[in-house]
Amino acid sequence: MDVAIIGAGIAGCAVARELSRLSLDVVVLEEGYDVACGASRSNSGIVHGGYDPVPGTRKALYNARGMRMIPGLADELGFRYSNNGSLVIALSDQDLPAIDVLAGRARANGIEGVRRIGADELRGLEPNVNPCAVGALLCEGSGICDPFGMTVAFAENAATNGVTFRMGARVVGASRRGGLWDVALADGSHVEATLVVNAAGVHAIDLHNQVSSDRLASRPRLGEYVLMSRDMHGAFGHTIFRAPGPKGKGVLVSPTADGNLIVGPDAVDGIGPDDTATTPSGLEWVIEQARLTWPAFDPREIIVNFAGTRPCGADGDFVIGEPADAPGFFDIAAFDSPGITSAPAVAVDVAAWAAERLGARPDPAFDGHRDMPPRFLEMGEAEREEAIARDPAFSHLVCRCEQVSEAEVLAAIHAPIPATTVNAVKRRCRAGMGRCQGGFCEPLVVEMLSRELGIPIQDVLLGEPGSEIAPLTRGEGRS
Amino acid sequence: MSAPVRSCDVLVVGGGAAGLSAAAAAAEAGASVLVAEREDRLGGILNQCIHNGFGLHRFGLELTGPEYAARDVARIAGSGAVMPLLETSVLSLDTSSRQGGRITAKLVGRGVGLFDVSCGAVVLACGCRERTRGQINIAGGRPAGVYTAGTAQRLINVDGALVGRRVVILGSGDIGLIMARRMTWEGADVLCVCELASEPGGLRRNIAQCLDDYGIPLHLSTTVTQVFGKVRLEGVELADVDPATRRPVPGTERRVDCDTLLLSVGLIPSNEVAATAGVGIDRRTGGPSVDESLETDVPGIFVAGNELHVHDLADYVSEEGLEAGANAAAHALGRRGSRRDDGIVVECGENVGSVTPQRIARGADEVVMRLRSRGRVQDADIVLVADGREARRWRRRIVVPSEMQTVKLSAADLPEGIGRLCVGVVAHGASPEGE
Repeated sequence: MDVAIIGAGIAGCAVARELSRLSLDVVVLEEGYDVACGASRSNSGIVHGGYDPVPGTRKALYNARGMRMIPGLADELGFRYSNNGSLVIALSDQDLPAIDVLAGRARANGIEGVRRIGADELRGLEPNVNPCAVGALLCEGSGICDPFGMTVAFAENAATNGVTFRMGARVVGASRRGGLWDVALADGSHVEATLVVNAAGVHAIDLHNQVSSDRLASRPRLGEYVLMSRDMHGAFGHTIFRAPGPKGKGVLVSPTADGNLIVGPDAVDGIGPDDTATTPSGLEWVIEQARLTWPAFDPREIIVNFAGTRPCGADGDFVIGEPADAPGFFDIAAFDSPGITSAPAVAVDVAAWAAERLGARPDPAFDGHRDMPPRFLEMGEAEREEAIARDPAFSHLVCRCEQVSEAEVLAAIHAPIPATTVNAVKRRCRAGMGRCQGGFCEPLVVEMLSRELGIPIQDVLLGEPGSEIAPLTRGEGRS
Repeated sequence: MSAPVRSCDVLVVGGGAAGLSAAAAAAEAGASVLVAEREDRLGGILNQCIHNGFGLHRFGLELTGPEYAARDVARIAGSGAVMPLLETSVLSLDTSSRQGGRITAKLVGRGVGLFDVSCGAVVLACGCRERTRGQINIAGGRPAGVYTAGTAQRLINVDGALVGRRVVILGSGDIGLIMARRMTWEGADVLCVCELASEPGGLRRNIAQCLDDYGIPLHLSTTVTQVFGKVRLEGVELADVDPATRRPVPGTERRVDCDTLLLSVGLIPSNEVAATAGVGIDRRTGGPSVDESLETDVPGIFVAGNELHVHDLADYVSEEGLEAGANAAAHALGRRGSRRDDGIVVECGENVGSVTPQRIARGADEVVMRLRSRGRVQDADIVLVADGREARRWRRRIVVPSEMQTVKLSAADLPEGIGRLCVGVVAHGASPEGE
């Protein structure tokens, strides 16, 4: 292999897609059974406006570049993005200095369209915001995206252009041997590659420390969220942040690109890298904080809670590039917020370094376009007629809450990066993402996965290896 | 693949217990009927309820769910005036451009595609959905092994797939109780059923037949506060609940190892189709607000069964379906007299959680009132107060929240000119508070 990319999160998939422009043999090694199994899916889905990172950091640089790339990529690759703008609200005069600091950073980071607004303008824009708010920082350039869909889009386009994806391939180590990198997998097999891209998310720092004597500290930080029903989507147009205070940044309240409303996160330190469980106290705090932004917050409209582990480093900045003592090993580590926003720009740089090192030429067959998979729910009547005429499976609805048709589920199962689990189907086409959370459609999706993959129902997975939904047959209950 | 039928007197949305009865009654009243059913067979949730106990009130028999459904399917097949549309979903109801009082529904059917149905009346019978883990906000990871009871029921009874071996059930709703027994029959170890409230949520008969008969403990005022396990469920944390605040009591948390958590924590009427027509919803029942003919606040749209309010017994769902179907047919066929819309408002009084109908048209001669109490009352009276004066009371041996109460009013119970009826549940002989 020319390049082995470790991790199929947003960073790994964005790099894979950039490298697929070139005539190279590229493999992506992913321990999960789907892309975006870690922090890339469990985050706020915000395309950050670039006013938050400290000027001069890698975060400031890549945030600014990434946010300018995403609107075009959303069109080219077919993922959901909306330029809804953000507001950092001040709940009292004491919050105003913090907002001014952010405005100053915006100027230093070269971000336009950022300005202070007063209480009246704020209420005009967002009538549901806490009436105590005295003002806000408006950022016109920030947006929201579907971070899972964005990762899938990068991955599918990379796969269509010849990148190999190996799922269930857990990397246990990497070492340099005879000018090549030897990547060892948990199943005992090895992959040899000239270059390695370390995009292992919350494990990236551990992997870095295996190959470099320049040891980095990993400080994974949990973030807990609640997701609200579609009925709440319209409560806010902008993404609402709170002014950062001595107790941290407070939670955000934002519409999502997929039509829900998200609330969170908190920040819990001292957790393990794979710890993604929410806690009763964490969820309570998130809800309490949400009420400060949004007094009418109604917990009955919560449809699901989840947590993600941010791969935070020690000094707060991204770790991007090649350690001095590990030539050909490119880190994308400590890639926490604004990682989603920054990933496209980081990928361009990493791919350029790789191309230079390998002397790679452009692949003339590269096709950078990918269509967004159509959704019955979002189609107009004429589009629905046309879709059904093309594929009658559009006329059978599987998920009643989100009006997901059988055609969409089948398309997900047979996509360039196949959805082979219930969660993978859910995250692509939203079957099970509605109010009933799969109560009705989950058995139908299980039956379809069983049929399409040619496996018994008992072998159908929720998500990760070992997560069979109904592993037993009748009468097998006795242990 | 049949050609779409585009016109009928009554469109029934949903082919479960309520919809089948509504279709039968409408057809028997002389209406032409279409039944839109999203599954590939009629019967709805009855098809996965293979336990018996259905039909005791209607037929004097203990039928299984599929047997019960088969009787109603045979009844509509016999009428000749009902056409089922299988694997067909109703996308929306449009009452804005009424042509001669007719309603236009947009449907999509497998292999048929999109089509419109023009009808004189609609009966909504979409049933209900189960409250999920997310809605009660249980913390923890997202492992396999956490299911609503109905989903696990479908997996075992329709797909022959069993979800686990060591089971904790949260919520003592009827499906949870039925599944406690069902999992036990499959050899699983059902460790306990936990109930947040201080009263069981399901029928007393199910507590006896599904838990007591199998020695399965029921822990009242107990809840699950979090789940453990990343890939598969490894255990749950239980905690005592303070009955006053309904919040977990700190310090009472304990871990129970299990591979399955079933949730039976409430049912919520499915109002997606109703919402497309702008039907008004009662926050107490979670279903549409109706008058005594089961007509919603959108003329010509009727509702029955668990979409109106969650019932305890399929028999009563069917009964309500018959009423709605007959009234919808009368509406579609122009057999209903003119109705005055300045009706009587029905309110929940002491110890009443919800009541239907929410309003009564003046001049109604018979009214079936269905209500749920908030708490248990032994030797109770259901008291009806009309404009502040007691109008009637009915004595009951016991009233519990898990069992819906039905009372019938006649024209004599509704004095001329009253504006407001208030229904309460009190100890026998007592007067309702605040009246």
